[in-house]
Amino acid sequence: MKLFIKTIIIFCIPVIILVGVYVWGDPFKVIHSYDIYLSDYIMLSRGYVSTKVFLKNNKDYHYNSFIFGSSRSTAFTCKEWQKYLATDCSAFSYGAWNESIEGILRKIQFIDSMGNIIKNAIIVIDTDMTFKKNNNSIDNDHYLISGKTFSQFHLKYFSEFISNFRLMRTCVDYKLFKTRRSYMKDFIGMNIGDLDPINNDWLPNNEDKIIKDSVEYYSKSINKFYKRSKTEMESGTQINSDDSLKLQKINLIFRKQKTHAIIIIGPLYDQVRFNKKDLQILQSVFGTENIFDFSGINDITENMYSFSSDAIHYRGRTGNRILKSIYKLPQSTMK
Amino acid sequence: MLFNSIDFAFFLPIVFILYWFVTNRNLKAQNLLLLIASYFFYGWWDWRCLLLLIIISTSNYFVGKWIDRNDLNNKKKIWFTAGLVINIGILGIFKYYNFFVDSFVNLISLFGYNLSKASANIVLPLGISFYTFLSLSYLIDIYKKNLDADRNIIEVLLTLSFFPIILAGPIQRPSSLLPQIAKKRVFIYDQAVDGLRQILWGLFTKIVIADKLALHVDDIFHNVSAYSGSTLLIGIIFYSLQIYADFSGYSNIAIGIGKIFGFNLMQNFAYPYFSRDITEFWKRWHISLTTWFRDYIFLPISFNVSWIVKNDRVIFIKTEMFIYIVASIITWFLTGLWHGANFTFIIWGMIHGFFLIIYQWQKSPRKKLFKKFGITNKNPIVIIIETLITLIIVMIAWVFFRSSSIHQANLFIAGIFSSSLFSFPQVLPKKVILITILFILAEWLQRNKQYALQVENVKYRIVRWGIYYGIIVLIFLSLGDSQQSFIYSKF
Repeated sequence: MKLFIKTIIIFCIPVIILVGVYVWGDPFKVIHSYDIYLSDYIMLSRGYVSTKVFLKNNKDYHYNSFIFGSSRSTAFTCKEWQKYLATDCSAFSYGAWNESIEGILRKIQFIDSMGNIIKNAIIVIDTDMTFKKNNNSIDNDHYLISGKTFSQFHLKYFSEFISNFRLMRTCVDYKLFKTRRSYMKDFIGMNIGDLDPINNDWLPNNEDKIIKDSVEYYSKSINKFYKRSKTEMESGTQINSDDSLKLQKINLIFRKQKTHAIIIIGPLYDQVRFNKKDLQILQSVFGTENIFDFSGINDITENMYSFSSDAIHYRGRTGNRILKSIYKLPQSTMK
Repeated sequence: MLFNSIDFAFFLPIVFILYWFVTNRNLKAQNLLLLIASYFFYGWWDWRCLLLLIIISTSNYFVGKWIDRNDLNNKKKIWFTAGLVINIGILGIFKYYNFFVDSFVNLISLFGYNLSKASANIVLPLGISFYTFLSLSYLIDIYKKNLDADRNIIEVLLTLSFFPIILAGPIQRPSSLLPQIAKKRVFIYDQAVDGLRQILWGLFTKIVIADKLALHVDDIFHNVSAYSGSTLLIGIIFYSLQIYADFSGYSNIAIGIGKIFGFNLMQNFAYPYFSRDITEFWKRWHISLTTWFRDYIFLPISFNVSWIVKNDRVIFIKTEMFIYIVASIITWFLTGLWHGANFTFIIWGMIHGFFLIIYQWQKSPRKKLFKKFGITNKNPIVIIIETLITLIIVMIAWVFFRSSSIHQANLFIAGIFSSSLFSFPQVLPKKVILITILFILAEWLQRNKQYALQVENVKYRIVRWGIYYGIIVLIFLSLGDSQQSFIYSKF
């Protein structure tokens, strides 16, 4: 028996070291709790961080107004939205990178199960993302949202850690010597923005650069702003019966909670219009007056400065403009 | 609790330490510990189903005693029948109630009567088919006097709920497990190391092979009409490998766990896809179930029919063949039904039954034909052709096994045999195919061993450990994908 135990211990040493390094380095920030989740180390799962921040602050801030959606929903900040809400409203940006309708539903169900009041909600829909099939973004989300077990959740991240040798090396090297080296560039020094520790707003750090010299800033990525057709294209139908059921489930919670819900179909650089049939489904579920469609060719999408330099996301100021138009006019006039 | 979960990774070492370090001097304490661990393991999933397991195993203990006690009078048969009714009744209610009710209502509707369906929302307890079969063997063996019922209750309860085999076998007969439980176990280094190696191989086949293939199989089977014949063919090849890797993986883990606790559990798989005929396939696939059906269903039916039929021929068929056909049809109908409450499983069973009958029927003409043309049984071309034919039969049957309905299975088979069979497959995951080929190669090279990772004869430890670490890394790399439960634990 002694020989057996000794052999097992010796055999397990490399595995124990690996697990130890992972727990100590915590590259995805999923092991320990943090006051502030900065993203300069590696790109964190915003879905996970959102739930962590929500759980941490909910008791103190009693969130009752929520913004849901993908990275594009970060253009809508709680700080700006709060201007249009009643004084007793406490807003929280509950988004996730590549968020799907499944992820949005689960988050709303989670908030509801936590006993929170949902007074106001903004759901940001992407023509090319929200209803996309095989969107597995929920896999990276917090286990309370994804429905995975605690162990499945951690195994997933651990597996990601050991599948990338450079990440492992970076984790040890940077933790020990706090020095940024060239090989670490995929994981450290991304520094593209911060997350607000209270309302979880994404605060991109390129906005200052754009304001300072937008011509110079956009010139570096001008090739991303390709020439678009003058004829408006329409996306294919995406909302199937499964998605429709999810939308109805969302609406059921909203009706129960008497939520004032706004559904925003975001503006995209490709100017593809959200499918008419899909739009009708959204309208039939949430009411025509609550749907605001900014897709297709319009003032916002015509202007390249509405978008970030990646041409994929729209800027915070675009989000502010949209909010302003929504709260000024009961129905969108941006057709 | 699943073998491929983190929870189990904590559970097993704790039980191991308590078993060999705390309770090792007292056999009763060791057995009690294993029983508690087994209940904990099973109850982790759903404590209500644990209650059912305790009720079934306890009632079988007492029924067994009463059968034994009334050996010399008529009550023996009554208690035995009562025991069978309890076990089959519980299995029927929990597994087949909705199936039978719905089938009955559908049948009645064919005659113009409309009855409302009274489907019930019944939770299917994990492994119920396995532990009721264990219980049935226990009672049958006592009834046939192959087993002594005068045992310690803890030993019997442990036999009927031993955690490595409770969810998906091997269906270790109580006549073989009880004596091991009743005897003091000794720690043997080589056996324990072999057990760990077998667990590692089981985890590898489950997590790296079966779960990876499952992602593509699920997609293809959910979108049958959207895929070409060539893709559907890939789908069924993948599924054939997935179910083998999944179930043999489970069995290897179970047997490996048995070994580290000092038990010898029966081999459940012996490289079945390398079989050259369907009979051989069933001698190598799910051996514990096949032998169970052989001993408790097929042979008793054959025996009884042979008593009834006294003529040389029945409807132009030789009596021997007739008995084989009757026994096969009943056995394979029940084998199919055992797997699940769906007509697809029954058809799967009947396909195998049919080809087993065909195989039996052609044995003699085949022999004559081979003799006439001077072909030996060891001719490699014949072996390859026969192995391929066996594989094709098995794979076609798997289509029914995997499909949610007969309609879907027909659609799948029609899709395979369409002109699009010759188009380029829409799903061709290169990495998965590469690792699966390596897996098949390992299985082929090690086909004379109990499992493919039995590399204890490799001289250098560094090579052996290198192989183990390589497998562990592959397991860790695959853990990120969604964790799948074992296919057979649902039966």
